[in-house]
Formats: sequence, structure tokens, C-alpha cells
Amino acid sequence: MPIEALETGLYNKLKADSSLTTLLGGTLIYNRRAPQNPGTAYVVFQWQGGGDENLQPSRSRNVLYTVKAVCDTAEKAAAVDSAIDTALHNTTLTVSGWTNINVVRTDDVNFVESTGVETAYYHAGGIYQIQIDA
Amino acid sequence: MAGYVGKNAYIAWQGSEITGDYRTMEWNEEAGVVDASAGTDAYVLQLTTQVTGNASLTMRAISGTAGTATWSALANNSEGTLEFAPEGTATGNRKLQVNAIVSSRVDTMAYNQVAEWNINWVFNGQVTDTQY
Repeated sequence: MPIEALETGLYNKLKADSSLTTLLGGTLIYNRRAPQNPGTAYVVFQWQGGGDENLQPSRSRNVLYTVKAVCDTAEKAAAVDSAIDTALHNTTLTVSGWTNINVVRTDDVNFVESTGVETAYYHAGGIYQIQIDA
Repeated sequence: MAGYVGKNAYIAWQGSEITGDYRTMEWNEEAGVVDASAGTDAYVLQLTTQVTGNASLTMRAISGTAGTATWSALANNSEGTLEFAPEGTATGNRKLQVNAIVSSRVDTMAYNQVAEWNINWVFNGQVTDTQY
């Protein structure tokens, strides 16, 4: 399945980045939904939009993925976001059965989720455009 | 009558299929006319001359060695048979063929867009409109 192959490629790309995993304290990288209490810094990515382009007979896909840090401090979230950006923006994604065309950051994600009077989770990251063809 | 989309189209140049990365194909035939009106005529009088035509193909640019080969085959001034099957090559579908000359080609790139090629032909003979 194209989605599975792409998300596996995205996960592997993030997982292989030692700067990112060092900041997270492991491979705390999750697709769509993190488990309960994963830690004070982790990464969540999820499909945001797009799909097949249907512009020519040979297949091509143009999708958007939100890839963001979720951390207990803004500073930590910013650092993880920076590592995500280095790992993805203008780099090559290896997707089984497909050829990478382009991976670029197109938008930023930046908000706070209050979890109590003095506690919050800071979300920082970006929306990445991923173009692949068969 | 059934309509159709372009997904089954077949395009070949000099006997080689170039459909794989095509995005749009325009096939244009036009009659030649000259104005034969006299000064006292109330309406324009046209006389027909030769029929001519041209075709234009927009395709995704092909990278690497395959790109070099395709681009070379589409060199300006190259002449050969241009074949176009709007609905594909299944039996009974339309088969348009004409001897044509590549009159221009354009390679368009943008920083964050997939590169495209645009190939233009002028027809050099009669279009045959038959079936597969």
C-alpha cells in the first residue's frame, strides 16, 4: 500500500536521525497517535492531505504530513522541531517501490495544549510536502 | 455516445511510445483560407487553400539517461510519424497519424514544481484518421 510504504519511509528517516533520537531519549516517534504517557518529549506524525496526482500515466503522489514535537517545555519542543527540520527538509526519503522527488517544509505548527493549571504540552513542528513517483 | 478521459491515450513518435509521462496533448487541424472579397462585396468571400495542423504535447520531464534519450528523439527539425490514439489502441479506437516535424521544444523548471517538457510539431502531410 502506498500509504504504508510512505509512512514506513518517513518513520525510518526520523528514526535514523541520531540528533533527533538523542533529544527524545530514544525512538519516541509515533504515527497518528502516541501511547499513554510516552515521555516528556516525543514526535508524532500524521497524514495531513494529498494523495495521487493523476497528472500522467506514470503514478505520482503528492502528500502533506504534519511532523511535530510534543514536549513539556517550549525550549525542548523547539529543539526537537529543529532536529525534525534538519532530518526532513530538502532531503531524500526512501520509500519502497517509489522514487523520491522532493521533501520540503511548507508550513509551521506551533501551539500549546494546556493539561493543568501549571502544566502544558508544547507542539512544534511543520507540515512537510512529500512528492514521490513510481 | 460515450465520453472519455485521457488516461488511455497513446502517443508515439517515430514508432516509439512516449505516453508514459504525458500530461496534455493537443491536436490541431485547420483549414487555410484567403480573403477573396472584392471592394464592393457586402460579405467576406473566402477561398480555401491548404489544410495544415500542429500538435502540442506537455509531459513530465524525464530524469537521467532515459531523459537524454527521449529529449534527443524529440530534437528540433526531426521528422517522422506522429501517432495519437485518444482512447488507446484497442480494436475499433481512433488512430490518428501524420508525418510531422518537431518545430519547438521547451523545458520548464520551477524551484518547487515538477519539471515539464513541451513539444510542438507542425504537420507535414495529411492526417489519416483510421481505426485500430
